[in-house]
Amino acid sequence: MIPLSHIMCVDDEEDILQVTRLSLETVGGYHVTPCKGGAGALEMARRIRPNLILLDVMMPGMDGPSTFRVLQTDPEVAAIPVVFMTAKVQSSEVANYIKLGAVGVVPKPFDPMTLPKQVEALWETFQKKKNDR
Amino acid sequence: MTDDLMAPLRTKYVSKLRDRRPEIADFLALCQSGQPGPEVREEMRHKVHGLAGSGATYGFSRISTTARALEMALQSDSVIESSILVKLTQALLETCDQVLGGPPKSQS
Repeated sequence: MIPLSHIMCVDDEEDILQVTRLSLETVGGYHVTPCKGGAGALEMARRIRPNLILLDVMMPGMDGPSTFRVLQTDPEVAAIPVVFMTAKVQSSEVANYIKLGAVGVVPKPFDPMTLPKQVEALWETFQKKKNDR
Repeated sequence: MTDDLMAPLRTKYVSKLRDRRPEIADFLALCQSGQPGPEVREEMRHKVHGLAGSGATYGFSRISTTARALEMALQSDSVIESSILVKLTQALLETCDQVLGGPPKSQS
Protein backbone atom coordinates (compact mmCIF):
# COMPACT_ATOMS: atom_id res chain seq x y z
CA MET A 1 0.00 0.00 0.00
CA ILE A 2 1.31 3.45 -0.87
CA PRO A 3 1.94 5.38 2.34
CA LEU A 4 0.18 8.69 2.85
CA SER A 5 2.79 11.42 3.13
CA HIS A 6 1.74 14.64 1.42
CA ILE A 7 -1.64 16.28 1.98
CA MET A 8 -2.96 19.45 0.39
CA CYS A 9 -5.53 21.36 2.44
CA VAL A 10 -7.92 23.77 0.75
CA ASP A 11 -9.89 26.18 2.93
CA ASP A 12 -10.75 29.87 2.84
CA GLU A 13 -10.33 30.25 6.62
CA GLU A 14 -6.73 30.95 7.60
CA ASP A 15 -7.24 29.72 11.16
CA ILE A 16 -8.55 26.39 9.91
CA LEU A 17 -5.61 26.00 7.52
CA GLN A 18 -3.21 26.70 10.38
CA VAL A 19 -4.70 24.25 12.85
CA THR A 20 -5.16 21.58 10.17
CA ARG A 21 -1.53 21.88 9.22
CA LEU A 22 -0.38 21.82 12.84
CA SER A 23 -2.47 18.75 13.55
CA LEU A 24 -1.50 16.76 10.46
CA GLU A 25 2.19 17.65 10.66
CA THR A 26 2.71 17.44 14.41
CA VAL A 27 0.39 14.60 15.36
CA GLY A 28 0.25 12.76 12.05
CA GLY A 29 3.76 13.36 10.78
CA TYR A 30 2.52 14.27 7.29
CA HIS A 31 3.77 16.98 5.01
CA VAL A 32 1.01 19.53 4.48
CA THR A 33 0.62 22.19 1.81
CA PRO A 34 -2.12 24.74 2.54
CA CYS A 35 -4.13 26.36 -0.23
CA LYS A 36 -6.32 29.34 0.59
CA GLY A 37 -9.51 28.94 -1.43
CA GLY A 38 -10.66 26.86 -4.34
CA ALA A 39 -9.47 29.16 -7.13
CA GLY A 40 -5.81 28.22 -6.82
CA ALA A 41 -6.37 24.54 -6.00
CA LEU A 42 -5.97 23.13 -9.49
CA GLU A 43 -2.71 24.91 -10.19
CA MET A 44 -1.30 23.95 -6.79
CA ALA A 45 -2.40 20.32 -7.10
CA ARG A 46 -0.72 20.08 -10.52
CA ARG A 47 2.44 21.58 -9.11
CA ILE A 48 2.82 19.62 -5.86
CA ARG A 49 0.99 16.37 -6.70
CA PRO A 50 -0.21 15.54 -3.16
CA ASN A 51 -1.30 12.02 -2.17
CA LEU A 52 -4.61 13.38 -0.92
CA ILE A 53 -6.60 16.62 -0.92
CA LEU A 54 -8.65 17.88 2.04
CA LEU A 55 -11.25 20.21 0.60
CA ASP A 56 -13.56 22.56 2.49
CA VAL A 57 -17.14 22.56 1.18
CA MET A 58 -18.36 26.07 1.88
CA MET A 59 -16.00 28.66 0.50
CA PRO A 60 -16.79 32.04 -1.09
CA GLY A 61 -16.33 32.20 -4.83
CA MET A 62 -15.42 28.68 -5.79
CA ASP A 63 -16.90 26.28 -3.26
CA GLY A 64 -15.72 22.74 -2.53
CA PRO A 65 -17.91 20.83 -4.99
CA SER A 66 -17.05 23.29 -7.80
CA THR A 67 -13.35 22.96 -7.00
CA PHE A 68 -13.72 19.20 -6.98
CA ARG A 69 -15.34 19.21 -10.43
CA VAL A 70 -12.51 21.37 -11.80
CA LEU A 71 -9.93 18.96 -10.35
CA GLN A 72 -11.77 16.07 -11.98
CA THR A 73 -11.48 17.62 -15.43
CA ASP A 74 -7.68 17.56 -15.32
CA PRO A 75 -6.22 14.12 -16.10
CA GLU A 76 -3.04 14.97 -14.22
CA VAL A 77 -4.80 15.40 -10.88
CA ALA A 78 -8.16 13.68 -11.34
CA ALA A 79 -6.94 10.50 -9.65
CA ILE A 80 -5.88 12.26 -6.45
CA PRO A 81 -8.40 11.27 -3.75
CA VAL A 82 -10.40 14.12 -2.25
CA VAL A 83 -11.85 14.25 1.27
CA PHE A 84 -14.43 16.93 1.96
CA MET A 85 -14.37 18.83 5.24
CA THR A 86 -17.71 20.24 6.26
CA ALA A 87 -20.13 20.98 9.04
CA LYS A 88 -22.93 19.65 6.83
CA VAL A 89 -22.73 15.97 7.69
CA GLN A 90 -26.34 14.81 7.53
CA SER A 91 -26.45 11.40 5.87
CA SER A 92 -28.04 12.74 2.68
CA GLU A 93 -25.35 15.39 2.39
CA VAL A 94 -22.54 12.89 2.98
CA ALA A 95 -24.11 10.60 0.37
CA ASN A 96 -24.08 13.47 -2.11
CA TYR A 97 -20.37 14.11 -1.55
CA ILE A 98 -19.57 10.43 -2.01
CA LYS A 99 -21.76 10.29 -5.12
CA LEU A 100 -19.81 13.23 -6.45
CA GLY A 101 -16.65 11.16 -6.13
CA ALA A 102 -15.12 12.10 -2.78
CA VAL A 103 -13.47 9.28 -0.83
CA GLY A 104 -14.85 10.51 2.45
CA VAL A 105 -15.99 13.36 4.66
CA VAL A 106 -14.40 14.81 7.79
CA PRO A 107 -16.91 16.65 9.98
CA LYS A 108 -16.19 20.19 11.13
CA PRO A 109 -15.36 21.23 13.75
CA PHE A 110 -12.73 18.53 14.10
CA ASP A 111 -10.50 17.48 16.96
CA PRO A 112 -6.87 18.29 16.07
CA MET A 113 -5.75 15.28 18.10
CA THR A 114 -7.79 12.76 16.10
CA LEU A 115 -7.86 14.36 12.65
CA PRO A 116 -4.75 12.48 11.41
CA LYS A 117 -6.32 9.12 12.36
CA GLN A 118 -9.54 10.01 10.54
CA VAL A 119 -7.59 10.96 7.43
CA GLU A 120 -5.37 7.88 7.65
CA ALA A 121 -8.44 5.63 7.92
CA LEU A 122 -10.00 7.20 4.82
CA TRP A 123 -6.70 6.81 2.97
CA GLU A 124 -6.47 3.13 3.87
CA THR A 125 -10.05 2.49 2.76
CA PHE A 126 -9.34 4.26 -0.51
CA GLN A 127 -6.18 2.21 -1.08
CA LYS A 128 -7.96 -1.08 -0.33
CA LYS A 129 -10.78 -0.27 -2.76
CA LYS A 130 -8.22 0.70 -5.38
CA ASN A 131 -6.34 -2.60 -4.94
CA ASP A 132 -9.57 -4.61 -5.07
CA ARG A 133 -10.50 -3.16 -8.47
CA MET B 1 -0.29 17.74 20.25
CA THR B 2 0.75 19.68 23.30
CA ASP B 3 -0.93 22.83 24.55
CA ASP B 4 2.34 24.63 23.88
CA LEU B 5 1.85 24.13 20.17
CA MET B 6 -1.82 25.09 20.18
CA ALA B 7 -1.40 28.12 22.45
CA PRO B 8 -0.17 30.61 19.81
CA LEU B 9 -2.87 29.53 17.38
CA ARG B 10 -5.51 29.79 20.08
CA THR B 11 -4.33 33.31 20.89
CA LYS B 12 -4.65 34.29 17.24
CA TYR B 13 -8.10 32.73 17.12
CA VAL B 14 -9.24 34.71 20.16
CA SER B 15 -7.89 37.84 18.50
CA LYS B 16 -9.96 37.07 15.41
CA LEU B 17 -12.97 36.54 17.64
CA ARG B 18 -12.36 39.96 19.19
CA ASP B 19 -12.35 41.48 15.69
CA ARG B 20 -15.57 39.67 14.83
CA ARG B 21 -17.46 40.67 17.98
CA PRO B 22 -18.49 44.17 16.77
CA GLU B 23 -19.93 42.62 13.59
CA ILE B 24 -22.04 40.26 15.67
CA ALA B 25 -23.11 43.13 17.94
CA ASP B 26 -24.07 45.22 14.88
CA PHE B 27 -26.12 42.31 13.54
CA LEU B 28 -27.85 41.99 16.90
CA ALA B 29 -28.74 45.69 16.82
CA LEU B 30 -30.17 45.25 13.31
CA CYS B 31 -32.27 42.30 14.43
CA GLN B 32 -33.51 44.25 17.43
CA SER B 33 -34.62 47.14 15.21
CA GLY B 34 -36.36 44.96 12.64
CA GLN B 35 -35.77 42.26 10.05
CA PRO B 36 -32.26 42.42 8.52
CA GLY B 37 -32.21 42.26 4.72
CA PRO B 38 -31.29 39.11 2.78
CA GLU B 39 -27.79 40.37 1.86
CA VAL B 40 -26.98 41.19 5.47
CA ARG B 41 -28.31 37.81 6.59
CA GLU B 42 -26.25 35.98 3.97
CA GLU B 43 -23.11 37.88 4.93
CA MET B 44 -23.64 37.05 8.59
CA ARG B 45 -24.41 33.43 7.74
CA HIS B 46 -21.04 33.11 6.08
CA LYS B 47 -19.28 34.66 9.07
CA VAL B 48 -20.97 32.44 11.64
CA HIS B 49 -20.39 29.40 9.44
CA GLY B 50 -16.67 30.00 9.91
CA LEU B 51 -17.08 30.24 13.67
CA ALA B 52 -19.27 27.14 13.80
CA GLY B 53 -16.69 25.12 11.93
CA SER B 54 -13.70 26.31 13.90
CA GLY B 55 -14.66 27.10 17.52
CA ALA B 56 -14.56 23.59 18.93
CA THR B 57 -11.36 22.82 17.03
CA TYR B 58 -9.72 25.55 19.11
CA GLY B 59 -11.32 24.29 22.31
CA PHE B 60 -14.32 26.63 22.33
CA SER B 61 -17.15 24.22 21.74
CA ARG B 62 -19.88 26.66 22.78
CA ILE B 63 -18.75 29.01 20.03
CA SER B 64 -19.40 26.22 17.54
CA THR B 65 -22.74 25.34 19.11
CA THR B 66 -24.15 28.85 19.30
CA ALA B 67 -22.74 29.87 15.90
CA ARG B 68 -24.19 26.73 14.32
CA ALA B 69 -27.63 27.48 15.78
CA LEU B 70 -27.55 30.99 14.31
CA GLU B 71 -26.25 29.69 10.98
CA MET B 72 -29.12 27.19 10.76
CA ALA B 73 -31.66 29.92 11.45
CA LEU B 74 -30.10 32.20 8.84
CA GLN B 75 -30.06 29.54 6.15
CA SER B 76 -33.63 28.47 6.82
CA ASP B 77 -35.90 28.85 3.81
CA SER B 78 -38.76 30.00 5.98
CA VAL B 79 -38.86 33.48 7.42
CA ILE B 80 -37.42 33.45 10.92
CA GLU B 81 -38.90 35.89 13.39
CA SER B 82 -36.56 38.66 14.43
CA SER B 83 -37.07 37.72 18.06
CA ILE B 84 -35.53 34.29 17.38
CA LEU B 85 -32.59 35.82 15.55
CA VAL B 86 -32.14 38.21 18.47
CA LYS B 87 -32.01 35.32 20.97
CA LEU B 88 -29.59 33.27 18.88
CA THR B 89 -27.33 36.25 18.17
CA GLN B 90 -27.37 37.22 21.85
CA ALA B 91 -26.35 33.66 22.75
CA LEU B 92 -23.40 33.82 20.34
CA LEU B 93 -22.38 37.26 21.58
CA GLU B 94 -22.50 36.11 25.22
CA THR B 95 -20.37 33.10 24.35
CA CYS B 96 -17.86 35.35 22.59
CA ASP B 97 -17.75 37.55 25.69
CA GLN B 98 -17.10 34.52 27.90
CA VAL B 99 -14.13 33.60 25.72
CA LEU B 100 -12.93 37.20 25.54
CA GLY B 101 -13.30 37.72 29.28
CA GLY B 102 -16.32 40.00 29.18
CA PRO B 103 -17.84 42.61 26.86
CA PRO B 104 -15.68 45.55 25.81
CA LYS B 105 -15.90 48.53 28.12
CA SER B 106 -18.12 51.24 26.65
CA GLN B 107 -16.40 54.46 25.64
CA SER B 108 -17.86 57.38 27.56
